[in-house]
Amino acid sequence: MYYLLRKIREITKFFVRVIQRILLMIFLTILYFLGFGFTLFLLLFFNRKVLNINKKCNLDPTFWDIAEGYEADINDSIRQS
Amino acid sequence: MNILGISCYYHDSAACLIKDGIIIAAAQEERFNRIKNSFCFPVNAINYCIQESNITFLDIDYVGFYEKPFLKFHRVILDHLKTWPFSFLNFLDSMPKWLQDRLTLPLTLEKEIGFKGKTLFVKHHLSHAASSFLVSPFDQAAILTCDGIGEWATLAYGIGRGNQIKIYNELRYPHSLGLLYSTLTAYLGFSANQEEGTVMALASCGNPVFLDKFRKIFVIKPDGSFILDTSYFNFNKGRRMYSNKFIKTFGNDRKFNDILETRHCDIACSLQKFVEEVLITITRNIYNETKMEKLCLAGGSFLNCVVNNKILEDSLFKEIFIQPAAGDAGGALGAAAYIYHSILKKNRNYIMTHPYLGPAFSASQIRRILLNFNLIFKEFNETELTKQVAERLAKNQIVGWFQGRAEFGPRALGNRSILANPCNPQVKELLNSKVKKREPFRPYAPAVLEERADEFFEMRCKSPFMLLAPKVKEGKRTLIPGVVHVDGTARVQTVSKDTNPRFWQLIKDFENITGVPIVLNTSFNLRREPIVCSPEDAVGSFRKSKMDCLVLENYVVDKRGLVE
Repeated sequence: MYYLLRKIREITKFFVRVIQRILLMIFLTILYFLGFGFTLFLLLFFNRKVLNINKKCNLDPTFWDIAEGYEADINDSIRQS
Repeated sequence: MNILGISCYYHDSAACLIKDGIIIAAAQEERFNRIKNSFCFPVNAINYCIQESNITFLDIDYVGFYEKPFLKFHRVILDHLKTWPFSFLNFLDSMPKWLQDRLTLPLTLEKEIGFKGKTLFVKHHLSHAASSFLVSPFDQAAILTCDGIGEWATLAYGIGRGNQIKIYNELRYPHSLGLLYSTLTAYLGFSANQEEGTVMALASCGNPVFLDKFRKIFVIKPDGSFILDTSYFNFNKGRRMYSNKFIKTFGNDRKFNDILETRHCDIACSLQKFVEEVLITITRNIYNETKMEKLCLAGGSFLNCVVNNKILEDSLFKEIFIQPAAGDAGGALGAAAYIYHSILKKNRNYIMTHPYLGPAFSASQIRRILLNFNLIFKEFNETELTKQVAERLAKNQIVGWFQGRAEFGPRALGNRSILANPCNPQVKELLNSKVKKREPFRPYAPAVLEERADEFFEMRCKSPFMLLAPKVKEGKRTLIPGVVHVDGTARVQTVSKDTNPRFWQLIKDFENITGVPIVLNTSFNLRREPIVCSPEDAVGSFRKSKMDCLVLENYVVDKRGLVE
């Protein structure tokens, strides 16, 4: 009986995981094509600068970026960004 | 004060525990879960560090993570936007990982190890810089870090003074030498982020006929800063990292099992020369800007011992320091060291002189394991042991050598090594057929007595972590044919009596028999497996291969004594 219950539980768990995975993939697909597509559209028209981040021009005297955010500060280090 | 450093979720997960500034333990997760270059949360490595330090999870004051996840996520999202809709498959692949683990480290720490204290996040290249400078013997030095990619930065430089690090400038994604090397590794049919070393070895077999083509892909300024022409690459646009334009320029890519042609060797050679050229320009400029005499290097790119040697020879720095886990695993060490020294402003009190920071096993544990495996073994005292093994090596036997604490980092440096006779011209074929199954062009490395290294190699400084590839002196090449690469170099490990007395004694005994103070040292693993960690792993590899003998601490198992 115990074995049977455990087996049922395992099979249920497996199906829940598969359904979870399918739902996540559907959600991510919608997010990517609609969410990202729409955001890209907005950025292209209203804030192209964001998409050109780190873009360099061959005529720049140097390609070095000044390093920022490297301070030895505990409050800064608590942040994940 | 106990600080736990962690690196994970990209490749080479690791953990490191620092107690009052001293590294007590450091290990890579792959050694425990047996998945090469494992990127999982390093729960086994953390448990080991805690156990080794005789503390509990409640005694950890801070956990340091080797990068800033949200900053990296920002770059990933922006990159998906820029490459929309071509990045769809990559998006589906990476997002579940980000949502499940990567953005929730404090929760994972609580769930996996019950840690509820402060978690501090140190930028990726700062972790690399700290992993080198803060454990180096230098009071002040210039620092250069270079790898595939961190959050945004791909290469950074600055200086270290006392317990502080100041990063001056950086180059940002997609302009990356590390990514270029990984792209070419994949293009040549090897695994990116794993087999860059194979490409480095292949480079010696070719000529730099494609060098100008690499120069065209990059725009390099006289100060060493560069950008790459992204039209040659497909970063984040599909499974392939290179574009059709790249294939038009360099020819068809090589598949895993395809024959290696001269063209492949020439491409690898050109890539290697190009990377050397750029890094030497950068290091010369760093020297001119900082006026420091010493240089600390970190990041996966500096596991390339040929590049390191060139930097030592051609830049103006007098000394360089690279710690053994220069890749992402070292980030765990760097994050912990940075928190202790730079953030909490504690003085430096530790110099990394050896890599032996991993697990060790007692004689009784090993004996029990050997008995469990039904193996016939002999026990020797220390003096007899090294003599016995040296004799076997001199008779061209292949010996699995398992001693003391495991090494931290990708190199086996005399505690989890396979040893052989470097004087035997057939040793490479022997090792390849019996144990390692490597590509025939890949060289094996020599471990030499530190005080005798100058006699055999053109060395400017010690190489205790096997991260330099100097030339073998002309007159000595025929003496040690087994460890000389086709270009006359060797990836040397200098062995000191202070840091590994038993290994030193073994080489000394080998010298007493053969007159050569060098043994061939390669990592104790089979093809595509991580280096062995426990005696069980060692016995497993021994049984699967055709090694002649296995030495576990003072116990010697002969292949003939193997009871199947």
